Amino acid sequence: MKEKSRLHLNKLSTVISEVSHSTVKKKLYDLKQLITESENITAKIAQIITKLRHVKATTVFTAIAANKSFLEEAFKKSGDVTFNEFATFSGVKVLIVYIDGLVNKDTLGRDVIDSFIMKSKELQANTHLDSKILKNLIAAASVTETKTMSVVIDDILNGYAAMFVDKVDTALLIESKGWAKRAVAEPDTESVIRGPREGFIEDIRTNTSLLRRKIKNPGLIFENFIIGKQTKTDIAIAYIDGIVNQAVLGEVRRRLNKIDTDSILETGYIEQFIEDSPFSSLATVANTQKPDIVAGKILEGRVAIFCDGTPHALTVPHLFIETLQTSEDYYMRPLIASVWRLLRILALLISILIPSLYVALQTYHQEMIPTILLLRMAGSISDIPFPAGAEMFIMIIFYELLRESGIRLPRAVGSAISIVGALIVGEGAVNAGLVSAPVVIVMAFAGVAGFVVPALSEVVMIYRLLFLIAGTVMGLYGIVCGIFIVVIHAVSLRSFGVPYTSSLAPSDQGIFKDFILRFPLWAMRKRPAAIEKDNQQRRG
Amino acid sequence: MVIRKRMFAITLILVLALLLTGCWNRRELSTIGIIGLIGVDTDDNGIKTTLEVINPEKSSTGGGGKNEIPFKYVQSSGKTLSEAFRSTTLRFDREPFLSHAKEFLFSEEIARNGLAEHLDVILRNHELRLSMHLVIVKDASAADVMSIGSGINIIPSSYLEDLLKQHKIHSTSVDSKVLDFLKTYNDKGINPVVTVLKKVKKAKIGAGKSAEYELSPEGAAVFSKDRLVGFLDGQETRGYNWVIGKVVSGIVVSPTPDSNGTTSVEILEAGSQNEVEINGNDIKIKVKINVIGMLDEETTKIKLTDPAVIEMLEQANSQVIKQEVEHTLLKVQTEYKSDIFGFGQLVHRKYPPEWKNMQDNWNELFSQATIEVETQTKIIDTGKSSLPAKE
Repeated sequence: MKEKSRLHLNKLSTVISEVSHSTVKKKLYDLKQLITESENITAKIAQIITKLRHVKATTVFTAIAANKSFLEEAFKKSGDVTFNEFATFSGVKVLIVYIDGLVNKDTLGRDVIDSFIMKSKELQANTHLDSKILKNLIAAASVTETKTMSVVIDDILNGYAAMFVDKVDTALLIESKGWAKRAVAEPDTESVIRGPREGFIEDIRTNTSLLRRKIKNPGLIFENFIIGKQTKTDIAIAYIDGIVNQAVLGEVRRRLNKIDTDSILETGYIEQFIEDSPFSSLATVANTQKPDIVAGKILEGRVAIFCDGTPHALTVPHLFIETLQTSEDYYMRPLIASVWRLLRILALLISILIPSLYVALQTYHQEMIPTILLLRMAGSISDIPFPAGAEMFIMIIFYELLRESGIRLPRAVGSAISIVGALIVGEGAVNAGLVSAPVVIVMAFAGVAGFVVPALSEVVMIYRLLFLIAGTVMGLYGIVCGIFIVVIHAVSLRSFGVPYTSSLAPSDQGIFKDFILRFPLWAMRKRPAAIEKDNQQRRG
Repeated sequence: MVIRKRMFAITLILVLALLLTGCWNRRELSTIGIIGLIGVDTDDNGIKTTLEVINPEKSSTGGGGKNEIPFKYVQSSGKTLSEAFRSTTLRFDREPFLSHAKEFLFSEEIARNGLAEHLDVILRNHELRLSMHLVIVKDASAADVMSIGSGINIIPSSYLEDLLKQHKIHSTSVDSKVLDFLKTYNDKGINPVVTVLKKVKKAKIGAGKSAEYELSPEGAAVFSKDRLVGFLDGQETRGYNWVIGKVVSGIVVSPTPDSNGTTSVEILEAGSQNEVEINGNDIKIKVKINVIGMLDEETTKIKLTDPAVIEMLEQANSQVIKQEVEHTLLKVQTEYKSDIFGFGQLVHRKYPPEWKNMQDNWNELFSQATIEVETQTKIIDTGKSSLPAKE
């Protein structure tokens, strides 16, 4: 096998040596184009195949009894599928099938059944009933006709009411969706002081409409997908034509088309199928519940992914800087926003490094601590039975337990837990001489700082622990090694072809304008160069 | 395949390398004794070190019982300093941690026999700092002085550190670091001057319990190479500080001309310009001192609004400074024969070829050099009042 591969290599090198470097590059580029094209074609073929599969299904019967029994069979007599049979004055039998709970019964009664019965009175006797005439009898906005049973079944599941008329071999699909929906409200996890308070809800149409209201531009395009063999979940990707990075868009489409799963219950499912580095601690796909954030991101050339049934929308590509940004950064005056940015960067570093620095300085580098502080520390740990590293480890674990239980427990118990935590850890453990006071303070400091960067709070926890181990075993040397590893890892990440640490590495002018500092909006003439390739000019 | 194997091997080596580092100088805070002050005396064995170990205060939640002294002393001896440091662990339950030592005290006896041999450990040991204050204890053993802490700060090392830092306020003492000593010792054109510390009987005022002695860093110790040759008193030390331009602040008292009052001038700014000239065998050194001051106290009635009067005061003041400087120069030249002012460095810079012949007996040449002192005082302010209090 070794011989074989070497042979192959030799061959390639002889070919390359004859032509110039640029030609090779060009050819490789052509090859890449071909590959993407062929992938697109495969995707299209796959779509056609699925369509063809639908076609082979049964067509609608002319007798409503046959239709009824067929659908009863198809739905396996499920309790929520309602069959409503009635007859007009002229004696035409009609069957309406819908799923109870997905259909607005008021609309159905008034605009469909009532209107159908009343209007059919005006029809002349012996009129030959066909779908066109029937359509006019219904007062609903959207009525489609089909002859295919599988389409009927899919649409019933999506909240349509299917109407069968005796002796007509066409089914009418009436849109009368109406199910319980949560009101648009401010998301708990992304509350703001300044800026819109609306958040996405579980209904995909409401979500897309919220976005549409922000961007009144025909260029805003929603592309629909249906993913999940069992759940058949509606997925929509949103982007602005003319702004979106075409390479990213193509990649998103390709990856979505490749998803082969039986269920999508949340955007988290999609995220796991399409993300670049599934085993990395850093996320390469962002999520948010706020339409203004999604609008801001797709205006920079990103692509948003909505999923029915969840208020969380995804945006890609996701860069490191987005974890430090908030929507308020752009609503506030630039000077204050810049100070907040700096504060957030500081908080991130503090939250990750403070516990490990404390332990490293205390066990390896006592000479670096000012004398008075060292004496205080030495005094407070003089009768603690654990080494500093173990002490900090216990505190970190305890803190994470408290935090997690605070999230999971019912609200009323949650406050009790925090009281227990504060009293037991803050007072009891220190008094009992199990944990020293500085460790509690350091951990509290790190914990509070961790909440300043909510997008990273889980990652921060993992890194905090890893750095603690490094600091305990190797002191500052270990911490510096850890920083190297984390930075190298972050720099090597890519999100949909865009380097994760863009603007910083590889650096562009964005490093000044919208990274550490946030320049005034009028100074940000261009969209971020890392994401936006074709249409960078924002203003001017 | 090969690449993958190699990658695996490299990763494995890297991971194993992490284990090799081990816990090379891992020390829990509860196993070390934080040393604040190091005192070195002579002993039959060779060297006797006394260490002040600071006993960290417990975070007292209960309050009350604060009668415990926050420091302890450990004494040990050995042939060298490092041996003595190590042997403290024979008798004390904490390993001495020297990085936080503030001062290094040497007894006069050791200083007279040469200090350099004992400073090598400071240069070499990673715990000991070159920025430690170097202090020579006069008329007492180092151990004797170490227990005196009569300031607000009850820990002697901190009391001493704060005391030494105040040299900027009076300019009658010097603050020397180990690094300064090593630098000047290694230079042929200058000799070290080191802080000196004396035990002074404390006046008993009030009924409360108070220490019997207090410390005074007034004056300076003059070295020739690494050997102590003598001391300067407070006034002479300020004379030395004038020459090297290290006077930061202080009060110069001069008699008020044409009356029996005295004038006190606060030094706001002081600088010196030294020059050397060589004509054949004749070495001529010029010291020029410029002082900007502010009238701080005037005990007699004079017309302070008159520029001529101010000029008179300036004259008188610069005369006092001149006397101070000349006295110091004379004493050092005749008595100690050690160029502590760094005039040799000036020669080195100005006459490099001549310096080659002079450097080995520079101290002798220095003691025979003629020194010319020129002082100038400028009083730029008379304070809040333009009239003297005395009618």
